[in-house]
Amino acid sequence: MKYVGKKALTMLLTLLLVSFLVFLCFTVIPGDPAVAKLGTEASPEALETLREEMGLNRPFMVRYTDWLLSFVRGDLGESYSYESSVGELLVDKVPITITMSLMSMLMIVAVSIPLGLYVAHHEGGVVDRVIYAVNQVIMAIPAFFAGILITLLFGIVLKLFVPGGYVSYSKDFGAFLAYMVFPSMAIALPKIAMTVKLLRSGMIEEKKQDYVRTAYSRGNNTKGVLYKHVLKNAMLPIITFLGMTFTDIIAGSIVVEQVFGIPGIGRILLTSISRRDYPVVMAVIVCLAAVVIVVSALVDLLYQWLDPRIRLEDKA
Amino acid sequence: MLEIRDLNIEFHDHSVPETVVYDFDLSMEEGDIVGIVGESGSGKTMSALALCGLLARHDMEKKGKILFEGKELLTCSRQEMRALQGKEISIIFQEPMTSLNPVKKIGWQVEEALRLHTDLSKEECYERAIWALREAELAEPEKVYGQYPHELSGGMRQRVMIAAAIVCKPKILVADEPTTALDVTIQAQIIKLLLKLNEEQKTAILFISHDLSLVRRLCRRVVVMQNGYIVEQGDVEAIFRSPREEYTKRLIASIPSCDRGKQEKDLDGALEVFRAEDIAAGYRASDGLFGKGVEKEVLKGISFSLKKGEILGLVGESGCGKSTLAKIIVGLKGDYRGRLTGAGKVRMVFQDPYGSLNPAKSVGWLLEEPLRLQGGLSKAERHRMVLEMLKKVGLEESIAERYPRQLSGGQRQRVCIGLALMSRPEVLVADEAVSALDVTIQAQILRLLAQLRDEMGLAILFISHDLRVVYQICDRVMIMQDGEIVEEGTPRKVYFEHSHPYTAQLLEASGVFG
Repeated sequence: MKYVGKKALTMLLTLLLVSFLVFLCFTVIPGDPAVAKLGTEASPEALETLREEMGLNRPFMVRYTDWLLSFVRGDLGESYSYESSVGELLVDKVPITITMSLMSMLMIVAVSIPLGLYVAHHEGGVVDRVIYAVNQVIMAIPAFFAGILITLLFGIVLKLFVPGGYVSYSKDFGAFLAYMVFPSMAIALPKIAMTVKLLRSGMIEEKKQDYVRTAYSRGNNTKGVLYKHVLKNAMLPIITFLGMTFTDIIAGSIVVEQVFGIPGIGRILLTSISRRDYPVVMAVIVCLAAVVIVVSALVDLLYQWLDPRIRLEDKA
Repeated sequence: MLEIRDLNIEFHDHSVPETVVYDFDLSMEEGDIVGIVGESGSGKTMSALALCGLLARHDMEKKGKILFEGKELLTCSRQEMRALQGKEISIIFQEPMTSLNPVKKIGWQVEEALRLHTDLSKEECYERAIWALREAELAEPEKVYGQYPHELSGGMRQRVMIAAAIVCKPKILVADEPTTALDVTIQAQIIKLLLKLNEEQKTAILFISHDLSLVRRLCRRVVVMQNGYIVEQGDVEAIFRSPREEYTKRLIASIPSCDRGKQEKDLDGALEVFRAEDIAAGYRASDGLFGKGVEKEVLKGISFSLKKGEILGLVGESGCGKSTLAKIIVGLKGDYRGRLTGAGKVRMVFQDPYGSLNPAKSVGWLLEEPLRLQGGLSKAERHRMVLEMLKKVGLEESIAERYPRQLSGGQRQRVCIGLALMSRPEVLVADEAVSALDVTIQAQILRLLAQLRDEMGLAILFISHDLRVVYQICDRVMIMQDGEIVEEGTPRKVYFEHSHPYTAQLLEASGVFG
């Protein structure tokens, strides 16, 4: 319990630091939300009045503390550019991005782990060599380009989905999921290639360990050795990799949303940054940071559950 | 019960097939204890692995016959072989630290053979595993059952390996250097345990070792191997008393003996080159980000001095603090209390000649490095000094162009010694510098060290767990236990007139006197 408490405290401190740094960044970089709202033609008096109204003229620390206190109370503030509160704005979009990220993650785990195991088991075989070659190519494709290729192949040639025909999840959840398969695939593909490669080499490396010989000496067959002994050991670096990948997936989704015309937080984030819509940007970044921090904490827990050597709890 | 005839093992991974075992013959009856002795590359481990069905690589060919209770093991199917592995034929390995799966509980690993070969229920498996752990003399079998390998010491892990190997009551237990990685006292316990299993369970034991004296203590029959051939085999005592073959004679002769009449060097007038006073040190065991560290004392006030031309032996078991002391002396650990005099001219040679040389650099480059760092010498001068050093440590000049992986273990250790001597130290710290080497190579390196001491007036702190080697080479010996020097004196005094019980215990366990 003590460990969990410490961990939670560290996570909160990290979040606080992130929010502070982002707030600071937007104060330092050039750009003025008042100008963004009224346009460059606005008179200096009008701008000054608006700035006063928006509270932009107050000192930095006052503004930050103010933002932080209302954020903690659950009030994310009013958007400068959209005619709605930040909360309402995000409530619609966050599920879209989260769905897409989780779907990609699921695809990565569901495809790469069985595939990695298979090629490690049949090292040097035809499948292994073909997958190796394909992997090399896929790994070099960035997510947005994979998106374009998928649109071309599945959307235009095979007509499995209508490019740009996004369906809102509140309207038809099934159609929404069906559409999301393709952008998720675009994000997942390069990551699948990397995970397969990593798992394959990890398994092959583990196969040289002494405990593998011991396992054979007890009468295990190759399958038994791989699944009962090697897999758990080889999964350790994969877990770490997948944890880092999740951050990448979220970042990738912002770009892929553009390619597939999906109104997720990616689009909002980009528009808000260019319009200097600080309340929206702050909320999005802090949310993303929270997701990343929670995921890495989960990875830590998973890692400890898998590897008894680094279990920190109940140690004298 | 077991009959091996004309076993030949060939590797086909190079263009020319390479034979590693020639015409190996061996027969064993129930309850036999047979030793196979030989140096690395003699084929002893290969023969044993073939018996256990663990040489199943496709680039390798095995010819001959291995008959186990009438069954031909070389031609039987993999499935038939698997039915015997872990049930009738078990094996324990040299490295107890790495031979257990690090992420599986001990109980799971001990029970594995039962799951594979029997239909016992969960409860019955548990009972049998606890029985095996108790049989392997683990103090708290129920507790160990739920632990992971990293929570156990090396000796305990080897006991776990033994428990897992005997859980199905096999007819043959193959022990491949099972005690090489262990301390002498633990080694003696494991040998006793193997003898007990042999007596009570009638398990036949095939004991593979490079250590002749160990084989003599355990086995009734011995097979001596060299370069893939059986040189000699027969009754252990007979072979020890009157070896017929030249190689066997040489092997027996290279066991350092502890002879009462050892010449003792007079170092009274020699210059003192190094002094350590009241060295104390500890490690801080921290428990996380906000936790308070707990200081664990490793060294409790060590004092000693070294004279020019003196070889001082430091003996102790793992965890006694001898490696920490070595680190402090050569400046690899800075947080200690106490005073060192003359520490600037100390260099170190490590145990593992394989791991301590950068594999990507040539020997010449490596030897030159201390000179380059020191500066002030031209390229030609540095090269000349490198060649001189190679000659000094008994290597050909052409070695300078080669890479560490192209050298044998003995050659590498010579390079390591040369590397340490490049900056002209007055004191050499040799931390288990010959422990990883074969006996005949070991004897050569020991001769080299003694010769360098004579030629260069080098003082050597010789850290070792091998009491025989220490007796042979050292002028003075310190026995270390739990961070303290418990006994000190000339080898003759320490070995024959010791006063501390720990010294007696070490000597007893190492079987130095029979």
